[in-house]
Amino acid sequence: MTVIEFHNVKKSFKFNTVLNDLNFTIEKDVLTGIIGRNGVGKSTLMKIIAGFIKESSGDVQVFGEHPFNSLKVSANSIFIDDTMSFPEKLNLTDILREAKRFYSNWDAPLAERLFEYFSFHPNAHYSQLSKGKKNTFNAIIGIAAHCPLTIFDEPTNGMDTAVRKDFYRALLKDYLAHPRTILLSIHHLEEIEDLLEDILLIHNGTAHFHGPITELQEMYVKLVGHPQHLPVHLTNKKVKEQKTTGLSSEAIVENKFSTEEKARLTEDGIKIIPVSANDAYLQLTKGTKGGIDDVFDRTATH
Amino acid sequence: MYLTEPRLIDVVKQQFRYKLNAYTGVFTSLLVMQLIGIFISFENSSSMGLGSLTIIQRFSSNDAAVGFTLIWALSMGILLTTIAHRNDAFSFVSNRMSHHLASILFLLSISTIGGITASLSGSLIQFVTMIRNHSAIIESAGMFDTPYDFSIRILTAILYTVLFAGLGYMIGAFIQRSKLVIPLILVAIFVFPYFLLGIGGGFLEEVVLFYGAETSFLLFLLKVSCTVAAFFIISMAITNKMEVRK
Repeated sequence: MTVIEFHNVKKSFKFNTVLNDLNFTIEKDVLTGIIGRNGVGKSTLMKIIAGFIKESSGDVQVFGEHPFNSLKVSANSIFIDDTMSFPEKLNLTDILREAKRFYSNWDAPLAERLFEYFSFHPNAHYSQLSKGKKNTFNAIIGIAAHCPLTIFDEPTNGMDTAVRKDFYRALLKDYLAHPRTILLSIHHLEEIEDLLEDILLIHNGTAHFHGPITELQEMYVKLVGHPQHLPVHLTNKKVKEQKTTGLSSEAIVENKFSTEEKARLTEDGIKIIPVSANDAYLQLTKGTKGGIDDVFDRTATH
Repeated sequence: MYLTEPRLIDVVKQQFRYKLNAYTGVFTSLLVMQLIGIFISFENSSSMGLGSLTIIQRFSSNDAAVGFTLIWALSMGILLTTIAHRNDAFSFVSNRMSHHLASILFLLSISTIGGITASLSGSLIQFVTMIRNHSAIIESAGMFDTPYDFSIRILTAILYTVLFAGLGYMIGAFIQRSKLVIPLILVAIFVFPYFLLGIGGGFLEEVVLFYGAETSFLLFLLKVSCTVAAFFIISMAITNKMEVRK
C-alpha cells in the first residue's frame, strides 16, 4: 500500500523555489531516511506531508487524501522537530497525558519507561529544558504515539552522543515491534546507515535518488592501489575524488566495471573497496564549485 | 497499523479540553483586571447644597470592572490567534477548522465566566460601599427581589464580553495574515472615527448606539450573535490557507 505520493510537486517561497518537480512514492511500513544538503527543502517536504504547509503546485496524497487541512492525515501522523511547542502551564507529565488523549495508539507504559530512562523530572516544565533535553522529550512523544506515519525532522539536534545512540536504538526496536511508515531526516547519515531501509535524497529540488540504502552504497567504489598503476584504470571513468599519500593512491569512482576490467584491477594489485552510504551520498551531491580549498586558493592568487 | 478515522467533533472536544487544562492563566489575568476595575469604582461623590440642607450623593458602579473585563476579552481573543498558541495546538492532532472551533468554544466559555463575574462584581461593590458608609438604603436589582432584571444584567454582560472577544479574535486573525494590519487597525480606531465625526457621520457613535441603545433583550441577543458569528466566519475564512509550524 502506498502511503505518500508526490506528483510534480513544486514549492516556492517569496524569494526562492525549494522543491521543483518532485516525484516519489513511499510505501507502507518502510523506514526512509530523507537526506540532502542544508537548505534543499527536506523540512519543507516533510511539512507538506504533515499538512502544515501547502505545495505551490502539483499533487500530494497522504493516506489517499490531500494532507493540507486533512484531519485524517493529522490524526494518523505525528511530526517531531524543534518547533514543537507546549503550553507554559503544563508540566512534562501533563503534556504526556494530553498526548495520550490525542493519539489512539499511544503507548503509555513505553512513554513512561523512556521518560524515566532519560531521567526527566515529572514536574519539570518544557521551557526550562535544554535544547538536547527538549528534543529527547519530543522524540519520546514521537515514538510512543505509534502513529502510522511518524515523521522526525532532525530529531537528534543538541542530543549528546550517548542519547543519540539510545534514540536510534529505541526507534529501531519500536519500529520492529510496531512496523509503521517512518520518515527521518538527519545530517549524520553515517550514524544511522544500519537503521534505514530506504533513502530519499533531495538535491536541486528533485528526488535525486530514491531506493534501498544498499543501492546507494553500490553506486560508487573506492579503488586503492599503487600510484603508478591506478591512473591507467581511471581513464573513461567518472572519478569523483582522488588522493595520493606516499605509495598508496586511492580514488572514488562510479561503480561501472565489467568483469574483465575487474580482473585487470586485481592483476595490478588494486583493491576494490565498498564505500559507505555517507560517502556515496557526499559524492552524489558534490557541487560543481569544487571543494572548500578552492575558495581559499582563489583568494590567494589575487 | 490501522488508520483511525477521526471525527471533527471529537478532535474539537480534545482540543477544547487541552486548552482548558493549558490556559488556566487567563482566569488569573481576568481576576487581576476585575480587581483593578473594582478598586477604581469606589466612589464618585457629589455634594448638593439646598439652603441649610446638604445632600451628599455617592455613586458606585461596576462600570469600570465591566470595562476592564471587555478589554480583557479583547486581548484574550487576540492572544488565542498568536503563533505560540497555534503551534501548541498543532503539536497534536488538529486542522485549521478544528483549531478555530476549539478556540471559539474556549473563548465563549471564558467570556461567559468573565461576563458573570463582571456583573457580580457589582454586588461586591455594593457590599463594600454599604460597610464603608453605614448606609441602609441601596437601590439596585438583586437576585431575589428582581430575578428577571438580575439575569438580564448577567446575560447582557456575557454578550458584551463575547462581542469583544470575537472582535479581538478577528483582529488577531487579520494580524496573523499580515502585520500591516496593525497600523490599519490603529487608523480605523483612532483616526477614521475622528474624521467621520468631523463630517458629522458619527460612525462610531452609531455603532455604539446600535448595540447600546437596544432596549429589547432578544433583539440585542440577535444583533450580538450575528455580529460575533460574522467575526468568527471572517477569521476562519482568512486563515484557512495559513501555514503552521513554519
